[in-house]
Amino acid sequence: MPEVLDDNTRTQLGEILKELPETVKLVFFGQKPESPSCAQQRTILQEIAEVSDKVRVERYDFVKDRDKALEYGIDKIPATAVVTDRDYGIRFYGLTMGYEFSSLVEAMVLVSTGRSGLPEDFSALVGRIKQPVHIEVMTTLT
Amino acid sequence: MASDHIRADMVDASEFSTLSQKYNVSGVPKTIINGSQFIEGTQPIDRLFLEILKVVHPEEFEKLKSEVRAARGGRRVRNPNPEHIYEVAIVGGGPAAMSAGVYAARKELDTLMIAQEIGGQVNYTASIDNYLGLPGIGGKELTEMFREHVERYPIAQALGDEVVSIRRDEEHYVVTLKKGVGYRAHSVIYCSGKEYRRLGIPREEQFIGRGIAFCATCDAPLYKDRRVAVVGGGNSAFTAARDLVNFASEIYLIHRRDEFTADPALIRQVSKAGNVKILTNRVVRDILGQEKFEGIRIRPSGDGPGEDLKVDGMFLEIGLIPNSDPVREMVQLNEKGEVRINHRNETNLPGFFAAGDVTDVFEKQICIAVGDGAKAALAAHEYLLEHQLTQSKVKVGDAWE
Ligand SMILES: Cc1cc2nc3c(=O)[nH]c(=O)nc-3n(C[C@H](O)[C@H](O)[C@H](O)COP(=O)(O)OP(=O)(O)OC[C@H]3O[C@@H](n4cnc5c(N)ncnc54)[C@H](O)[C@@H]3O)c2cc1C
Repeated sequence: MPEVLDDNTRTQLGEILKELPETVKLVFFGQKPESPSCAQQRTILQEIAEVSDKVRVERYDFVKDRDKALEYGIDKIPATAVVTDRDYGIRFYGLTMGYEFSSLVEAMVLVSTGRSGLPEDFSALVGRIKQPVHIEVMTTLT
Repeated sequence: MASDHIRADMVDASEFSTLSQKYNVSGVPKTIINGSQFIEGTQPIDRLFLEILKVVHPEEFEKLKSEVRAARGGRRVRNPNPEHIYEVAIVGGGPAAMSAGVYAARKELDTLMIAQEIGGQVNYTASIDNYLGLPGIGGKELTEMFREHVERYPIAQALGDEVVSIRRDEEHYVVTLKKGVGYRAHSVIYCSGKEYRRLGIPREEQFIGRGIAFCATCDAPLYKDRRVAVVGGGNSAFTAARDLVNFASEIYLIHRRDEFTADPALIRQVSKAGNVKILTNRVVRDILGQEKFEGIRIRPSGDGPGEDLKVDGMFLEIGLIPNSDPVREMVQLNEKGEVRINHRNETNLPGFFAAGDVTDVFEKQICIAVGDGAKAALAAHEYLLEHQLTQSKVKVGDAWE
């Protein structure tokens, strides 16, 4: 598999990830035999992990590691869960390229710092939410 | 991350085309909340939280909205006063009651609305296709529009408690609530609608909302990857099963007969789903579990050995019954327990009117409840005028409205 991230991106990424207060785990779910998109997503994650020792990749098979898939609530692949010791429930389904690459990096920074990045005055509104909520954002890579 | 209750998926729409089709994605980003509420495009974050609140805690959302409306001056609702004698008390908060509220207020009647909950059955309806001029409107959305309309008028509202009895004193009607408060009025418009029939098995009430549910449209997402039972054999049972197909891992449709009354197309659609098992000639006998709902015990309809079914939830779709208990002793009901009315929405008691699903009106629909609510309020107005029981200055008919 050819390299996905160019040198420029690697350098920039290195700068950002260096600052991470807590190690980020990218939990990847694919399946053997590997589909092209699974292979590509796996490569992207590996390349991110190569840039910084603050990032670790864990790989699972959607079928063989069904328990793990259930634990992370994964229902389709390729899937990437962005977690630290804590799981804030952030998942990426499909390839994290293009625009979604920035979203992934942003998510890594957010979970690592443990801050949502929302203004303070939202806490009252957010505090009113007391039941499980599942948000799905449908995006495309461009 | 702002809340422990929220999980978020970023989904590449082109990679997962089936899901995109299911959510009808035609532009991105598109945000889906709990599989049901859709937001197109990028939205300010406060809008997103409001939408979330609307989906998961409609009551909180309503509260927030009425706070906002009151602050803007568009809401003129008054507090109820047990000392006061109202000209008309409207019982109910569904379409019939809200329509009656608008018409009573426009006749400048001194009006009190007493309801357990605003919206009634409309809140249980995902999408309504037969309300004139608003095809495809969401049930909650329609309730909100009704509510905003009626709350523009200075009527008093007593919400959140249940009417347990209504009786007639010498001069007026006394409406007594569960918590003990009583309200008085010269006339009553009774619009308490219908509610879901229960099975009548032990501990049923205790588990309502904690394993027993009625509204699959509302609660299906809560049963993601879980096993559920749906009880009933009509359209509502099959619609519930269909709503659950995309969420639940296994669905048992339990019916006490071996023939269904649901539409054949719906039956076919549901029977085809791989995760639906249909169990006919079975009745639910018991609930399993002490504190937690763990399943049900079912038995063949005739007789035979019981069988335990481990399920995480049970939807009761066995029809609706009129909420006429509080007036059972006082007004004439038909054999179904519906309040008998004439074409002026009068009952056998002077000054006591009724409208909507609780009555024996032909067919139960939102538009019919709305129409009858209006008629009942106009008839009540006329009654109050005739008996000189109103200060209302409006003497003419409503012909031009
Ligand atoms: C799943 C479902 C789907 C439907 N789909 C459609 C549709 O697509 N189109 C359509 O036209 N109709 C539809 N209907 C029917 C429609 O919702 C009803 O005909 C309509 O809501 C009746 O209005 P209502 O005001 O008479 O009563 P309800 O809507 O039943 O309202 C009753 C009100 O009275 C209150 N109440 C009851 N008892 C008491 C008490 N003791 N004390 C205080 N308050 C009390 C309740 O809280 C509620 O506010 C549907 C119904 C259901 C259940």
